[in-house]
Amino acid sequence: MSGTTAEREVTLLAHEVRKTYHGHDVLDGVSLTVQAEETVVIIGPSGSGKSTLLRCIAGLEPVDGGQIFFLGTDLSTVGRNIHRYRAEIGMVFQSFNLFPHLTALENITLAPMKVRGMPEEEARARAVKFLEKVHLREKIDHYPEELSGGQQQRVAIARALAMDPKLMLFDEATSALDPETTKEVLDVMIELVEDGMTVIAVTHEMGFARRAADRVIFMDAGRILEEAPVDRLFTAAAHPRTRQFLEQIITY
Amino acid sequence: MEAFFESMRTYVLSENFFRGALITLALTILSQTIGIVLGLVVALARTSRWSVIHTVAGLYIWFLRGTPVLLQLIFVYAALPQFGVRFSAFQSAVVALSLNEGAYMAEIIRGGIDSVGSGQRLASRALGMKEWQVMRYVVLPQALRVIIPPTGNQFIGMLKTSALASVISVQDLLLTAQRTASANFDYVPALASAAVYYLALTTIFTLLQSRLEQRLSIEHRRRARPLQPLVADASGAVTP
Repeated sequence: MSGTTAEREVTLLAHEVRKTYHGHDVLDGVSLTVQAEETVVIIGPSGSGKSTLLRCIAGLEPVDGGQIFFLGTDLSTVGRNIHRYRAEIGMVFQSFNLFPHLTALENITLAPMKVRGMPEEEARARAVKFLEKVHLREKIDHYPEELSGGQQQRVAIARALAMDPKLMLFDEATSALDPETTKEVLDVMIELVEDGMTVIAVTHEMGFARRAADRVIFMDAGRILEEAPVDRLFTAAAHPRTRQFLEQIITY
Repeated sequence: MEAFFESMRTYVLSENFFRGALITLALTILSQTIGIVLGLVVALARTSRWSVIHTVAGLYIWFLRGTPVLLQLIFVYAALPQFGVRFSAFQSAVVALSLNEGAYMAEIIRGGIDSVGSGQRLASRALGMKEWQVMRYVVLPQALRVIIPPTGNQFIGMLKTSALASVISVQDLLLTAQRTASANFDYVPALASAAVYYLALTTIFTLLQSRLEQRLSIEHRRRARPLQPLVADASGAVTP
């Protein structure tokens, strides 16, 4: 979590980002600034464009308008080097997407070895370190199908961390999990935040938002309707749509 | 009856039939192997975002699956020389059978590639892999499980389809049997002898195929092994 100290490095700057699918505006001019070591939580109803925004930031979806700068690099200028841009940003998916034909260790070492050209010895040593970080050292040689959902998601987090990302994106990382395993994953995410990772998380886990987020953003219909520190959003949301949405997720 | 078995024994053990069987086997293995490689190239071309490559690959599959393999065989052997492309009978057979097989293998390999969920590609790209790396390290290894069983069937099919090469005078099992039969006016034992060889070869291939599939499922079971007991050392740290 960041304090209110002086100016920090800007990790991500999105300006008036637009994205259209089949004539429908999924992102309708989204602007967002995330500073280094900041944690931003994005909430909003399904179809509000949260996941699309994360994918655009990750360089996985081309944008139809506006600009995205990541550590000063203009995404629109990377062209064929898009894979280098993507390698600097870690992404964790709702459906884990571990590679089922590889062990936990191999899942983590694949990208550092093939993308960064890291020697196998070094990649393995670092993979062990990251598995320890997500408290799964003992699952090193297990295949994804042998792991619970929460364990798979933690391996997926270790896999992303192994690329030394400067920004981590979590796309509903716990939505596919039961409450118990959700806690395992949230604990790991909170540890990352405490370590000073820069994080953008799409989640409806308000406990996580309260503990970790510097700001919460409420999105609806492809726009950012409201952006506020967590407590203020809960107690004094400016927009009626935000209040209505918060009431819904808190009631159930 | 005794005379029948006697001539069958003579044919099966004859050098001619043995050589015919070797030619059938060589034709099968060569054509199928080249067909797999061609199929992979065409399947990858089908996934290309370049519309020209995509279309050419589509036309290839459309043409070779839409015309009889016998026509293709005769075309390569009899029509290509008119354009100055000359192959021996055996080479013509390998060219035609491989090209034909490539179209079928392309569809099988594409099915395998399509069976791998889009989330796998997304996660690979998010890690910074280039498109060929996504294919090589993530998609194809997973597609293999879907591709291998039908490929075994194609191998066995090729063993029998290769008999068509006898039409363009490749001295394979069938042509050997036909020539032996008409030379001696002795059709039944000669054709029965060829059938014995075909059955022996398809049986061996089938056994190899089931062994391979068994190996894959053992591999699968090995993965689902029971969890190793955890041992705590003096410091209280738990190691597997």
